[in-house]
Amino acid sequence: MDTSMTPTRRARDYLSDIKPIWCPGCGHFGVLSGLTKALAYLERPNHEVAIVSGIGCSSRLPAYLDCYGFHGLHGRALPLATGLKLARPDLTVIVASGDGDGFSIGGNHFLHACRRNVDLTYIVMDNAVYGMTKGQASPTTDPDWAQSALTPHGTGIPAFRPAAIAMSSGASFIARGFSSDPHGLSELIVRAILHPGFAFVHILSPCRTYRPDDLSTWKKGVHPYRPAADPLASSPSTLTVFEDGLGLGVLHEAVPDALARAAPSSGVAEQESALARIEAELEPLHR
Amino acid sequence: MTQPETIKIDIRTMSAGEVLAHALELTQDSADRYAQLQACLEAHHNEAAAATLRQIVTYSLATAEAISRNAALEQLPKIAPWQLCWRCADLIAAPAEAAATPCDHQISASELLRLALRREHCALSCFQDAQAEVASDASRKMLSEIALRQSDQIAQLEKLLAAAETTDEPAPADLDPPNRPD
Repeated sequence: MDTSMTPTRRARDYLSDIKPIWCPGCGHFGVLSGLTKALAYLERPNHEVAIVSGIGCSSRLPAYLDCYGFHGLHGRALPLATGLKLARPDLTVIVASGDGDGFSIGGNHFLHACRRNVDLTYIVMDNAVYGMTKGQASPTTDPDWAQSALTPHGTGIPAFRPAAIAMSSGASFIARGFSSDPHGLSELIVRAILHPGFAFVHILSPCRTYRPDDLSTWKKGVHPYRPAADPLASSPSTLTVFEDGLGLGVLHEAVPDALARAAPSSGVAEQESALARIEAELEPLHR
Repeated sequence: MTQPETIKIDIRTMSAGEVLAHALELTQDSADRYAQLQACLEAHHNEAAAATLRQIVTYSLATAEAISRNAALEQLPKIAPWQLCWRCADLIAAPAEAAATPCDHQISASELLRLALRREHCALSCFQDAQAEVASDASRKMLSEIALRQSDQIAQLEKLLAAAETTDEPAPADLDPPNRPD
């Protein structure tokens, strides 16, 4: 702990004047709290942070933060954020999504963002339901959840396992947090932001209105993640077969291969030369 | 900065500055969260609960303000949120009865006050337990003052609850009810 420094930023410095209209008791309040605490701890200037989101309750996040924000198309937050990060590598780019937006509509982008390893922090607020459209089963809903008129006997489809799939796809940082513990969550978000590559933070964030059952199950069930003693056991199959989906903490962290192989950043002259080559290649298309 | 701080703070060796930083974080964060809930209940047209929360926010801010008056006397350390020692034990891994706490758009003023009181009593316990544990006289004195302020706030909330229990009306009909399947 640094005892010599008085903190210069507070979590509330990152909140906008727009008040959240999530339902009372919504887990997303805890995520907002954890995120603003993380940014305050890192003392990131507001103008050096950008939040990109898709569509859904979770994706309202950019409106509630006083930094750059982009509320994009359904499921397309990751490609938008990738473009932004490539154009402005100096920005801390955080992507906010939900289980429907991120794992269903944007599922394909999730796989490739893990693989490409662009330096983004991807927080997915998973409430295992489509809340904004009033309670339909999402990719992470258990197959026997029968509370929606659309799936009166449950979906019968095994639930998506985000951490295992992220690991299979090559994500170099995977963590799981719980919105009822915003302080613990802030540490995971800080570590994700500091990670030099794609960092995926899966957040259990209960929907009070349509999945109150999850709130009580998760509150009683979450526990610190216990990594396997055998390092070889740290694999997608471990996360799929042996993990109950309620372990909190950093599940996986590796030195990103892509970054390890990357050449030192090129100078302005090299960038201009590369741009000239690309323009020359495109020239015939303009004729 | 490459890695976040991971050193665990020991309550017994806390300085007065660390005590103050903890208390400020706890009270200011609490006021912010009450204010968010107030705005949210307003958005859901529950005026009675929103008005009660407005009062709770006023009390919370007054407690935070009273505590922060000591800040001028101390060099406040920077403490990572996850290093804070004071977390209510039932926030995660809650017992069954705590998990069933009602908090939705139709919550009544008295239910809200009971919920707030439970959290504020939890904060008071944190202050009192720490007071019994800290080694430094300055820290103990600081905690004693903070606990006193906290007790005042609890007394104010209890008065509000007594009044609300006599005037509580049935949960208001919401103007935008969720479309729950039967």
